[in-house]
Amino acid sequence: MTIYPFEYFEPKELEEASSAFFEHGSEAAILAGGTDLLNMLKANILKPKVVINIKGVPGLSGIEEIDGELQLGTLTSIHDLETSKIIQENFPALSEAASFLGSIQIRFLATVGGNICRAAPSAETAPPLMAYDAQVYMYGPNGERSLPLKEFFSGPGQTVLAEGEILTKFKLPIPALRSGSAYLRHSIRQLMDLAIVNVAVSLTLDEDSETIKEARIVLGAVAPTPMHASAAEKELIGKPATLEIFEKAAQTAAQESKPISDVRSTQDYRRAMVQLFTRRALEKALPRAAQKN
Amino acid sequence: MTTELKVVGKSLPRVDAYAKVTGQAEFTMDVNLPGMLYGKILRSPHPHARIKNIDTSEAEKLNGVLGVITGKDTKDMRYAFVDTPRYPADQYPLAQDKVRYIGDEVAAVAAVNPETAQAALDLIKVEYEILPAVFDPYEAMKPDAPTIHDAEIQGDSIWEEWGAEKTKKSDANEKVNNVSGRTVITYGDPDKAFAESHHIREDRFETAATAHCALEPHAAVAHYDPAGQMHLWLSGMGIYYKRYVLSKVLEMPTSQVRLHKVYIGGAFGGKMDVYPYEICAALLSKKTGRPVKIELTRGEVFTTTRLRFPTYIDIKTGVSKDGKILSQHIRTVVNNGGYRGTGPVVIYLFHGWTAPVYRVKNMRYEGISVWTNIPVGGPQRGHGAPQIRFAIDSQLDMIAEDIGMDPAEMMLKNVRKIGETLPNGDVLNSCGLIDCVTQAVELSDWKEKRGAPGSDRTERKNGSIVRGVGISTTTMISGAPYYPFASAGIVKLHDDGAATLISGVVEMGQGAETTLSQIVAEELGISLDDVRIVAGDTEQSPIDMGSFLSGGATVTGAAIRLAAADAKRQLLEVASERLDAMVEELDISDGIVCVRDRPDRCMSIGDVVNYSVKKTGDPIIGHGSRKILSGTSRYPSLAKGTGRWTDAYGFNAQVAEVEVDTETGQVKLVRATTFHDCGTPLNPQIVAGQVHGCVSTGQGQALMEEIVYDDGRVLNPTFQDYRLPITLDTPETAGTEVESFEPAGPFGAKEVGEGVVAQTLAAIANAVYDAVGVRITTLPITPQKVLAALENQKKPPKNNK
Ligand SMILES: Cc1cc2nc3c(=O)[nH]c(=O)nc-3n(C[C@H](O)[C@H](O)[C@H](O)COP(=O)(O)OP(=O)(O)OC[C@H]3O[C@@H](n4cnc5c(N)ncnc54)[C@H](O)[C@@H]3O)c2cc1C
Repeated sequence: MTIYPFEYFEPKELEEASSAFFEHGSEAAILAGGTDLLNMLKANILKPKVVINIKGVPGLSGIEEIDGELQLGTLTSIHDLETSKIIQENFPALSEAASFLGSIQIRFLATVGGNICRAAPSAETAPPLMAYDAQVYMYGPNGERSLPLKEFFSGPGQTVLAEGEILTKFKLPIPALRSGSAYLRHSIRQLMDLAIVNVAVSLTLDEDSETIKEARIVLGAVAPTPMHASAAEKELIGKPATLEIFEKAAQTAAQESKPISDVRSTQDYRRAMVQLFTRRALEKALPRAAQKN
Repeated sequence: MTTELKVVGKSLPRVDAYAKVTGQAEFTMDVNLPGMLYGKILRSPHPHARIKNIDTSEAEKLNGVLGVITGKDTKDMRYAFVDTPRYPADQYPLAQDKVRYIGDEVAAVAAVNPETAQAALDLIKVEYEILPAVFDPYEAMKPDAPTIHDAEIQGDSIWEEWGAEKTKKSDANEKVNNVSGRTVITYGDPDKAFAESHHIREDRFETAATAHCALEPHAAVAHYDPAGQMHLWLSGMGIYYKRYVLSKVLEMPTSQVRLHKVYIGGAFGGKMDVYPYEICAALLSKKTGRPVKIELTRGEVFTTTRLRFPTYIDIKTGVSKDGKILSQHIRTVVNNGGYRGTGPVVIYLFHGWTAPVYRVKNMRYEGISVWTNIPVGGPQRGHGAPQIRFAIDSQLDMIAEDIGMDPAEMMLKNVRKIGETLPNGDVLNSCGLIDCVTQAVELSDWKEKRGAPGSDRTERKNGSIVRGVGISTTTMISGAPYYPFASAGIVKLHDDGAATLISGVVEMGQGAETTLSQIVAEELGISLDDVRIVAGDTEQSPIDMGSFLSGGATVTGAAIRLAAADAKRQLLEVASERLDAMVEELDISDGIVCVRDRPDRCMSIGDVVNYSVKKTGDPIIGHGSRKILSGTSRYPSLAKGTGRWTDAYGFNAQVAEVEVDTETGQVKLVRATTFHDCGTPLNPQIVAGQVHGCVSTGQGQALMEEIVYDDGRVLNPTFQDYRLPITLDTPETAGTEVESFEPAGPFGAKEVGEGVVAQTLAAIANAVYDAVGVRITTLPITPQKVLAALENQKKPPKNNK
């Protein structure tokens, strides 16, 4: 448990941070809340020669509604996600997910960008952000670019961030009328535990308030990266929102998932829980959609 | 009961609270000495291998490295917790010819900082010849399995110094590959009693390896001073035991090995043994002439500081028509890992936790401990009790169902009563088992929640959630014969009327400094604020049996009460002269000595002390001591279970109420109703804290805790993957002490805080069965297992029978 020595920078500008990051390439690491990074340093999973703390860079945090979109700075704390009124009202699955992350101490330190850049298959905020069609913004040597979040993860612990690129913010469209969403996770302990399965769903109903117009089902911890259960989502569209339909979609989601057996759980159990928690999450989201009209 | 108590029996604030909440309490890792070096241990990456060569030259050349030691430096240092003529010590601080588990100590380094020490480890070249390894005890016992300890161990054992017979007794049993210990106990006529039984059941149970999870990782600081004394600050549970073993290993006179006081951040049995890293710190300090600190990482704590023994238990029980246990045949096998640890002890203890609870007149017990290539087993809160109580009380629940009886009622038919003598000669001078069971049943609404045997439970279902209740009982000793076999205390009075207690006790969170100080205050008639304590330092404190074997209250407490009584006697003798009254006429209350019923003839304790000093120079110092099992000279036989063992047993009964989610298989412990017999609770709040701690430990081991291995490698040596309950997971707790008085203990006190852990496991397993009709016999009861069992529920639910 010895942390190898490194150089430490506190850039004051985004550009400065990015060029320092680019200059040192794979030898550098970005420090946000540090709740993941420090563990990786202690366990010698990462041995960076340079650590760049971006917390002094202005404009990287905050929750704002701009032109029908929610803008979420990368440094926004998990605690702020959990307690923000805008998020609780419009993106309840995101605040629910935030409330499950770590402990109160961790939630004050941890950032949403850090959670996404760590790219853990079980990352708490990934399924809800994907279920809300989040767009992720990055700044690097070639300026700014953006991608849908679902294209951001490339493997466990891996992202498409290029050398010198820093995640700056997320943009989430404010959900349409008659939309409802929910987040559930299954773990052995009530908190301070990695999910066996986590699920975020979002449903948008037609004007008849019965037919499903849009659906998102996003699963965590059951594939190398957080994943859309696309076939299950398709199955729901145009169908009446009934328990039978939900159960069928949940079955499809379970088939689509690619869980592994490890020290935390088994493949079969995880698959069974995908089905159960997808169904439960849909059942929880439906009355919320019906209310929002 | 005794006369009204003023300090004992009160929930007074802990005497160490101030130091702890202000961060002043010093733990081993807080000890920093001038010129101190940092040590690290090189460990085996193989479960079983022969060491062909170790090359330390590159490491020694590294800048900042001041000392490197290997097995060559520990050649004559064979030692172990179990070191008897039958079971000679099987371990060395650093491996000699072989390594026997992943994590086995191979070399140690001291350097100017931890980074350099770590870098030096990477430069040590060890040439291994990898040997076939075996991880399962049944596989290990096969004749063609690799033999883990191949050479017969020669030489003396430390138990001989403690009075054990020198001659190695011949073992009547056939020699079996890798068997490290064997206990066989029989009494009555089990076969005949089975033949007379109305109903017989045979079942098998398995428990997992679990970890202690003390918050403070193990650490040691050693400083060998040029004058020849070895100063040590250690994460330990008994300073006199560690001093003794270290003096043997280091070949130093006992009094030249000094353990200094540190607070311990939790131990739960895992800090009792003397560990290689402690010896290495001492050797490296001797070698370099500088203080050396070694702190284990959490990963090292998980793999190299002992685990609860994974255990396999087969029980055959015969009962009469009315639910009396007539005969029992119990077979246990424990996997003790690469070294014995306390394997031969735990197989003895399994029977030890059986005999005091239910009256079984006909018993055959066979226990076997086996060497394999997994990490080593050792004592852990309850030391064997969780495993065996889980098995016995799970089976009792099954038998009760078979014969159509309420399990609580069946327990009441079998539990022992005050005054009974156990097969080994121990006498139950206090035993509140009947009250524990009856009161737990009452307060938990058992009858209503459980319903009559065979009654319908479907109405309990709420969505996917079903509730159920289960019950279990257990026991624990109050101290047992082990070095130094006794405790002593000194109470010295001050001229302002205060007192200082000097004790060898180790405060590791259990509250001993507080409860022992309460005993002194009560005996002297002063307030707790007027008692200070000096503890845990071998140079300053008299001997102490250690804060293990659950003898703190009964043995150390009794010694300290005697010390306080001795001081009081001297005080009253001086006061009687001054107050011109007989000693028998004097009372002490609130620090004032008065002639009974004469408030005009009084003087303060401080004035008496002053007077004594002025007159004779005597400042008044009392001392007292208590030998464990005074009056007996024989130690119990680990192999045969004969011989007395303890002065008093604590008892408990618990009703667990659970919610099972039938869709996830997850079990939630919602309520634990515990009644326990600890005699007089010295400090009820501390007792309650112990019970809460036990419940969460028991709950964790019932539902989630498990060390997972793959070919001898621990896969989950972190708090992320080794899950123990967090506060949110712990249940509502109810219940309290039953009325009881233990004559051997001070003010009637005896064991609490270790036994309670053991009954939570069966109580939960039985509650799960009550809820959903699924019987899990392999711990932990994970959601996967429950869900799979629910799906496999071939037979119709028990309630529809
Ligand atoms: C006790 C504990 C409990 C936890 N519980 C949970 C839990 O329940 N659920 C869960 O999902 N996680 C949990 N975590 C993990 C962690 O807290 C979260 O992933 C957190 O959101 C990480 O954010 P951070 O700001 O601390 O990231 P950091 O540790 O600062 O960074 C994480 C990684 O992302 C990189 N990075 C950070 N920001 C950027 C950026 N803007 N651009 C490019 N790269 C960047 C870093 O270089 C690093 O590799 C837990 C951690 C701890 C210590």
